This record gives sequence, C-alpha cells and structure tokens, in this order.
Amino acid sequence: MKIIEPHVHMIARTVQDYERMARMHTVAICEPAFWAGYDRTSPQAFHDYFTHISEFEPTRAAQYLIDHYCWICINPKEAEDVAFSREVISFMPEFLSKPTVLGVGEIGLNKNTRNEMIIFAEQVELALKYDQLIWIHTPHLQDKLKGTRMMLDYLEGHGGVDPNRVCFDHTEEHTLPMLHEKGYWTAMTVYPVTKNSPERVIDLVEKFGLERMIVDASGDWGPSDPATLHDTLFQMRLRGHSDREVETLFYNNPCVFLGQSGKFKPQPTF
Amino acid sequence: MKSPKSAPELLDQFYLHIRSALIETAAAFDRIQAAEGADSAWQDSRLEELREAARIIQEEEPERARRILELWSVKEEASS
Ligand SMILES: [Zn+2]
Repeated sequence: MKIIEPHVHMIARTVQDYERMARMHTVAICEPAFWAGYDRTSPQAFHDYFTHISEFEPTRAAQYLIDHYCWICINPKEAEDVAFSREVISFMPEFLSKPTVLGVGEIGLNKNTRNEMIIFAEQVELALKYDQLIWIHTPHLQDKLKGTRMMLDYLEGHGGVDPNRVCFDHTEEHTLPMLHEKGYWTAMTVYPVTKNSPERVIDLVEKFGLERMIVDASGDWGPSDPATLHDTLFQMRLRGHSDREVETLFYNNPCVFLGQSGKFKPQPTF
Repeated sequence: MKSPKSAPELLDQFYLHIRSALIETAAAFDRIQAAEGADSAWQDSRLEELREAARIIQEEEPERARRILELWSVKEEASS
C-alpha cells in the first residue's frame, strides 16, 4: 500500500527521514510554507525559502523515489507586520506557477490577532485570483477553537470560497465537527505530545467517516516524527478496519484533494 | 463508519493504556506537590483545569475529549 504524507517540513529534517519514509512506502509528500523557528529578517529571506522548497527539496526527495510538492505563503506567525507580509505576498505569484507548487498555505492564525486576520484574508483573495487550493493552519492549544471559528466564519461569510478546495489542518475533537459539517476538508495531525494521538485520529474517523478526512504527521523542527503517520495507519488496522478503508484515508483521500491542483501526480486507486 | 470492534474488545485493547495514562498523571501531581514551591504551583490555573478534566472523565456523558479540549480553550467573547 502506498502512503502520502500531506504535511512535512523537510527543510528541518535530515535525509534519514526521507530514507525512513521511503521504506515505509511513502510516495509523495507536501511541504507547506511555515515559520522557521525564528522570524526572518527580510522579505527576501522568504524568496530564498520558497526557492528552497520548490526547487531543492524535490531533488532531495527524488533520490528516495518520493515526489515532493509544496505550498507557498506568508505564515501566520510572521504575519503580524502587515507591510512586511504584503511584500512577501507581492512575489508569491511567480512561485504559484511552478510545477510542484500546489497552492496557498499554510495560511491561518497564530494568536488570533486583527493583523493576522488581515493577511489571512488577503491570501485567500490571492488564492481565488490564481485559482489555487488553500491549506489552513489552525492555532495551537488554547487558541485553536477561537481561531478556527474566526476563519470558518470569514470563509462562510465570503461567499466565493468552495469548501471542497480548502483543507483545515491540525483539527481535533473540538474543531473538526464544525468544519466537516460545512463541507471543508479536515486534516488531523499526529504529534508525540500535543495535537492528536493515533488512537484519537481513528476515533474521529469512526465518528465522522472517511469523507474529506486526511491524516498527517507535520514533521518539523520541534518534537514531531514522520513515523506517527504510519503508527496511525497501523492503529487503524489494529482497530479492525479493512485495507480498502485504510488506503482511502492514507492514500486516496490526499490524492483526491491535492489532485484538484492539476499538478499532483499520484492517482487514486479506485 | 462504526468501530469494527465491540466495546469489550476495545476495553481489552486499551485497558493497559488507560491504566498507564492515569498512573502517570497521579505520579506527576505527586511530583509537583513534593517539590519546593509546591504551594504556588498548586495555585496555578493550569492545574485546576487538569483537575476539572479529570472530573469530566468520570462523567457518564459522552464526548469527554471534545469537552476537555473546550475547557482548555480560551473563552470566546460574547459579541463580534
Ligand atoms: Zn506545518
């Protein structure tokens, strides 16, 4: 069975992670643009970062027969400075046209501020103008519920956003239901401590079904591990679900959502 | 999409995990209480939220995980 990792920051990982993922049958991965662990000192630093994830990482991944895709944006943790953010947004279109760039992401909120919301809204507009998919980061811990509601309210009030072309990531028991109900894709992140465990992800799948559900490990520079995606696959099998259902969640679903970009090569098996 | 496993099967599958999570929680409370400065740590609102979560676990009402996460979320303003 082939696996897709829809969210991993390979810029922060070693080649051993590529090797491990390849051995665990991961055939494609996606790298959303995010914070580097420190604030970048100039918009030009983002230009370099976008070049890295759209040109260099695919060559690293290819050595392990993995297709590498990415998303481009100014992330919510660095979106507080509106003028700075707009400079970054001004050169995003040149990257959106690249062959491995799937859309605008991971945009979203961090501390749920007014400025973060302004830049979120402007990047939604950019995505619509260039007919791009949208990947959304929902805030951490105690800010997640409020931030998710703010973004959902905004998109619902907008009127021009197709929920089927938007995925909200890092969803949990308190945020997934309202998004699922409105027809958005929802991704569940499995982390060693914060976010979901493999067990809770399968609980959510049993409760809400397989439709528009995605799982990722969001490996980055902090405590995280790409193998938690595969731990979750194993948990689903332990819980008695069929290979067909497992394949739907870990391969076909991401193929269907990401395939809407017209650039994602892996094809669903059905 | 229902669980293919029955409730007794799930209890067998998860009993040791649950037991482990609870004893680790109890030991962590003991660890904090036994250390210097326990009085001020004991007043930390995060500990009270953890105790409240433990109360939710004991309730008969379902959706405990969702309710605990809501308890741990910043309260939203009534307006805007
Ligand atoms: Zn991320």
